[in-house]
Amino acid sequence: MSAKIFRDPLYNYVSIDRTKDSWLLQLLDTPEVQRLRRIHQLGISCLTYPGADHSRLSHSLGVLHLTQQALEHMGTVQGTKSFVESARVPLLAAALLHDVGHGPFSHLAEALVGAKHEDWSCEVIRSPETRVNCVLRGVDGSLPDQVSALIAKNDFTRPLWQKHLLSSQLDVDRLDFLRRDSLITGAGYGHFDWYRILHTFSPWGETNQESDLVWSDKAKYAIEEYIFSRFYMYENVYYHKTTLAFERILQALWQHARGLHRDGHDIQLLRPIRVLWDTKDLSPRQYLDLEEHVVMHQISRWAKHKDKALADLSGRFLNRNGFVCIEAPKLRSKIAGSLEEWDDKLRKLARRKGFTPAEFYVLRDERRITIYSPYYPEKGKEEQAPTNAIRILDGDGGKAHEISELLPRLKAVTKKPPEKVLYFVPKEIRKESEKLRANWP
Amino acid sequence: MTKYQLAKIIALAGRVEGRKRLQKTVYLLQVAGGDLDVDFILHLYGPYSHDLAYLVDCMVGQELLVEQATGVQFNYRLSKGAKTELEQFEATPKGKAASKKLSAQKGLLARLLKTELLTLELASTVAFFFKQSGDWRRAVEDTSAFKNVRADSPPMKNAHELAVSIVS
Repeated sequence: MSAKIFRDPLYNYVSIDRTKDSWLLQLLDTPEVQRLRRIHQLGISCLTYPGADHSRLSHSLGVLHLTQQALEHMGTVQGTKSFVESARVPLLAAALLHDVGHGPFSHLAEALVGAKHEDWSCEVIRSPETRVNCVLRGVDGSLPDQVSALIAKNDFTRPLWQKHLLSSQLDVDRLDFLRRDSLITGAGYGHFDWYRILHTFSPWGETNQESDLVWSDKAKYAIEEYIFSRFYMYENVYYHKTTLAFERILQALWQHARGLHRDGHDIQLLRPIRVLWDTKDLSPRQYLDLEEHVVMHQISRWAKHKDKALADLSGRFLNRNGFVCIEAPKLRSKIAGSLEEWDDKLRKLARRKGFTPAEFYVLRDERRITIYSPYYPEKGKEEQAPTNAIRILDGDGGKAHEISELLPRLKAVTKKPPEKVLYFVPKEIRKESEKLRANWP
Repeated sequence: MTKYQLAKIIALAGRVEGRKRLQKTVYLLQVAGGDLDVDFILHLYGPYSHDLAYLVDCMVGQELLVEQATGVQFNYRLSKGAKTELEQFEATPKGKAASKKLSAQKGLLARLLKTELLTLELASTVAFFFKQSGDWRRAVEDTSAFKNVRADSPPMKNAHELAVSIVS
């Protein structure tokens, strides 16, 4: 076999068969996929973990590698061998392309641009103006639609097990990013037996179309380790307060700049950002022009702008001169409590100390539960599916059980925590903010 | 969706039987114009919200909702403490306004709670597909293919009618 080999810190080697999968190499060489080299896998976590400079491309190659392994495993399982043949090409393409729609600083771009990366991945795959689309069409005219159906959130035209292998509570995406982010940040929490997890699943159901992912009983301890790792990674890396603070600062300065632009001020906009803000229906090409280096260049321009807040916030972002975190006070009413009054007081304080407009200096963070969270399973059996529960098939293969029902000790990390609201304020007003918080009725 | 909104819906319902019923009911109330701001995805059993599932579990943890398990099903009602808080809030001008909005959906809520669960699941799925395509015929066909239920079967017909009456 002649293979193109890539060295990788997690798997040592990732390989693509030059004869059988030359199209994958062509896909890898497209400008849209190469752009992923210039997108930080962990957004701005490098401001907290200096090593976190790895890219979406290395992650995408990792996901491709794990998908190859998963398909090889399925090829050895009695009864599912036949599923693999039609799944192989679209699944490998989707594995490599699943993040092709990410914008600058990965998930952070979703808040700046106001669109989910999966939607842009689908756009890039389907648009005839991209090289990705051209390569896919060269393999099979219907391949762009097949691949985009695997990535799109609300499209169930592809068999369920294929979709959920790529995106669910236990998928090749997470199996790669948890371990990769752990290794490269140096945080060291992402240890679990991924090989066992990847070699103990099977599609469960009567037909290829309806079959969904379940794991055998022998996977349960490896999955337990995975759930703990995932919990620690979210608590320590993805939800790190310093990272959250800089994310909010970037959003605030972006919003402020956009407001200035809307009001007709000259804020020395670079072309891709001007196009983003002034174009109603952005094309994939226009969207892809928005790169991290563009955003960083723009922020360095803004750091010298005459608008005081824009310059200050930009300077803080560039020079890692951050805000501090203050936890919101407890609400008086659990049902209808509001933080309006607290917001108001904090803003008054910021204003008094010269931090104006105050709404860009009192920044609020509320955690929302999405698929990108620790593992919080759905407890209602009638609603359980791979998107909200990891299920283990019982011995005779008749019933599937959500894993924390089988291993109750997992409840320690799968129980949903009470909601927490954090505020970030300039460190210059830390003491006064803390005093305000301590004296809050 | 706020805690108040969920508490009010459960207060108006008295008791909600099953998490699936709660998910589909909230989805259809939102589609009917309820200002609930819940993010739903299409899920194996129709529209599903991770946020709503989280909110329910948080409110159980805070003893605002009483959760009762019957077999594999979870049922919900308001706790005594939550009832008191709800009354106190609704005595304020802000609370009165919030209550008025949700109480306007009381009739629809009662109807959804009485609807057979399969019909509710199919109706919410039809409404979800309709929101995507804006085409009822296509929405029924998509639901039929997705749920593997014949488009001309009685449950699909009932579901279609229910979805149309709610979205319109």
